[in-house]
Amino acid sequence: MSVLATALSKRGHPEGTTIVNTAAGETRSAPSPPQAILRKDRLAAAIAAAVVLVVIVYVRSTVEPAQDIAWSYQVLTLCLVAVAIAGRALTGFRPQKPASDEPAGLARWGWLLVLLAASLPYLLTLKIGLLSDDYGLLAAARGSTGALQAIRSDAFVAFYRPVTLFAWWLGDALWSGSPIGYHALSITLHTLNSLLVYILGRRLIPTAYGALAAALLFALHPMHVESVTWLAASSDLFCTAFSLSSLLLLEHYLSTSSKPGRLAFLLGALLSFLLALLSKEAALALPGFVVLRLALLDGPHRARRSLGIGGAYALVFVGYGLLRFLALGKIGGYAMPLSFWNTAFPSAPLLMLGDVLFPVNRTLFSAELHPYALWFAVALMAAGALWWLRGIQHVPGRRLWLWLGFVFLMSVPTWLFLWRQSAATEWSRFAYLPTIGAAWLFGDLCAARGWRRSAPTAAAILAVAAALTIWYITPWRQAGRISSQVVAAGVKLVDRLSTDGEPPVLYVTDLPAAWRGAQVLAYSYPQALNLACGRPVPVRMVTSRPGAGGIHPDVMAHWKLKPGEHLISYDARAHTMRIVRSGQAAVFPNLSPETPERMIAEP
Amino acid sequence: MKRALLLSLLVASALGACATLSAVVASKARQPTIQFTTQIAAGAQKLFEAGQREEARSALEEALEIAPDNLIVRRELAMQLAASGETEAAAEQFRLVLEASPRDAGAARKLAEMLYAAGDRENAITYLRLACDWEPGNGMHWITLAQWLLTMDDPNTALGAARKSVEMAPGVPEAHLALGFSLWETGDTEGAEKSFVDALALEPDNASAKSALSALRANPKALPLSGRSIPLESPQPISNILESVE
Repeated sequence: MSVLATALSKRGHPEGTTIVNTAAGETRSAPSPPQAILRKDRLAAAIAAAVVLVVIVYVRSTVEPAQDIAWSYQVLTLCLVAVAIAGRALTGFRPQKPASDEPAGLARWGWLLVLLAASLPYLLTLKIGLLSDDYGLLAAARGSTGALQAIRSDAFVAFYRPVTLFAWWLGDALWSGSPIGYHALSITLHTLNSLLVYILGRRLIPTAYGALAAALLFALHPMHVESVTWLAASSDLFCTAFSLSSLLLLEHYLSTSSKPGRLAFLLGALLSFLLALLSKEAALALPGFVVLRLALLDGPHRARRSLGIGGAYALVFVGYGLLRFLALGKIGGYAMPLSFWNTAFPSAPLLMLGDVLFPVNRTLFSAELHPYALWFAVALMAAGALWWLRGIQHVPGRRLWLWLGFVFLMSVPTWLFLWRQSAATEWSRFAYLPTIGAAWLFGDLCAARGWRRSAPTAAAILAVAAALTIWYITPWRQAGRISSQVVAAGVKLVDRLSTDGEPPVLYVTDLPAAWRGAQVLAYSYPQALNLACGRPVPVRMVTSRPGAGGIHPDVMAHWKLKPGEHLISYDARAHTMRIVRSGQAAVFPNLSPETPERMIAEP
Repeated sequence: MKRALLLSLLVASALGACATLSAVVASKARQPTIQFTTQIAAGAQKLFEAGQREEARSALEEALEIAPDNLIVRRELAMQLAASGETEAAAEQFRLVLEASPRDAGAARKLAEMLYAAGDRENAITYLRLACDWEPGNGMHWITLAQWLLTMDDPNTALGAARKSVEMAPGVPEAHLALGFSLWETGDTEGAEKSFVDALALEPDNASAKSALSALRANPKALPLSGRSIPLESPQPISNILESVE
């Protein structure tokens, strides 16, 4: 273990020479070790990595993901981690000359590029409208008498996210709940997050070019389509904005010398962390990253400072936990038994890294393109991945572990869910925050190679990412159309079936949950109809999903509809709703002479 | 020494990956692909519907010889045996399905039905309780449980199941009937009458509810022995209803 620890810390080089590097990236390199040994080691590492990777790709792509082989992902991931650690330790850190060849304008106008890259593609989402859980969130906001009641609503069911609920309430108050307003807010938040990635990158990555590359990858990456496009996922955007603000304020705290200034920055960082937690639970592991960041700094009292600030973050964490418990009456979250084999540990961070390198939306590829297009795309992405892998040897060890540590730690809250999810599916929103670490790693790779050597490849990677992002937005636009059509058809049915102003009782089955990975409606139809009709309409969903509060399909098969009650379902061809059966007016039997009138009245 | 250790780690990782691959491939070999199994099950279903029951059964049994862990095929065989009235054989198949797929409420329900039909009522109720635990939102399980408990002279327990059935399936007349009979047997005749009325409000032609209500009103103190068997078909999937309407 000591061998590995030495290799990992990067203070000792495999060949015995010393390399000292700081988190800011200055390096003093020693003479390179003999090339023959390095080449042999690199070859061994490459062969081992290739074997493990081929096995993983084979298992993931050809074997049906079933519970009885879930363990194999964990074992394979551990193998890959072992290969990565040993490979890195063998091949070591090969510093390149600090790049100083970047155009002067990059540092001055980089933010503008980030702003445009983050916002322009997503202008396509402005008219998508409301989808799935969005209706429930807007209904909760609209049904509240004020901000305080809004943040106490149970729209997130098992989760405590008052910041996001407040944003929904504010949106309803400011722009009358218009979906365009909420979409504009999501785009603004994504742009802000990309700018924060850039600003933090300027502090953590040696060159402005590197920081810019990181921010552009984050802004344009297709994995972020769900987070930005689906309004209910805006909690990820808020959480990321506050998490990054917390880290930025912490950096200011570290670089400021005046005591009042430091205190203000630290308090600001802690407050931002609290707001991040109140936006979404994804920020739970931020204290872990803060400790890692401080532990990797140079200077005296490193351990004391790490523990002190980490402890302050932990106190905020505990305070949040108490607040959440008081608000929910329980800890909340999805009730899932926790064990090694049913979590994605240690697959989740590697899956996310894999999805960053191979953001393939298989549903979309198979539905819209020739089968060979997928292979072409994967080959293209593999070339990019190879470029990443080859560049890792030029990134100093401390920063490498900092970036990978970010991905690893920030993915902790997703370990229960992600073991078999992939990019651009309905779960990719979970990767929004953790993938910032991958974006910084990309920026660092670019910085380490220098502008002239890496700019063309980086530009090609970013162009592919942008093209995929724009393409991956298209199913969301179609989902928006389906959602609005289905709701409009429901409103028409309600109007047609109403008697004396009384709305009908509707039982709804076979609603489209998703369109090529994009959320459509699922279980939010009752709220959608209430919002669209502007009055309460009694709607019950027919579903076998436990806890959804609907009627089981088996039960519906025996359900006797009363007059004014209708079972309706989604017509996939016409994207509309049709009546399956309706309750008939009852002719009550004459059971016995003394009772019928009373019996008719009672029910 | 250091290099040797690290190289050993590399080799061990690659070997570990290969060993995992072997285990996974072996597991895959035991279970044919979904397409294959779906085709066999669908083909056997068509044969069964066309009246070629023996051929359907042979096809399914041959498939199970190749892939004994295949649940799609085994479930189809069990369903066909049940439909043919071979309750014991069907129960055995459902038991195997349940062993391979724990918490399968559908299989537990069918196994319970088979055992009940074969006269093993105590075990039938045990499996039906499992179905209720695993799929509590399915009111049809609770209705059947209440019915069976009534026939087992356990009206107090039946009352709990019947209340649950009304909670989960308020639009199903049989749930109100089960509650009515449970209440009647536990002495609450007023409640029983209301439940029968509720059942009739949902289905005015329901013969069981009509006769039970008449009997109750004629002699509230008599026990509803004749009304215990509530006619209730097996739950149908919702798709069947949609097809019948179209």
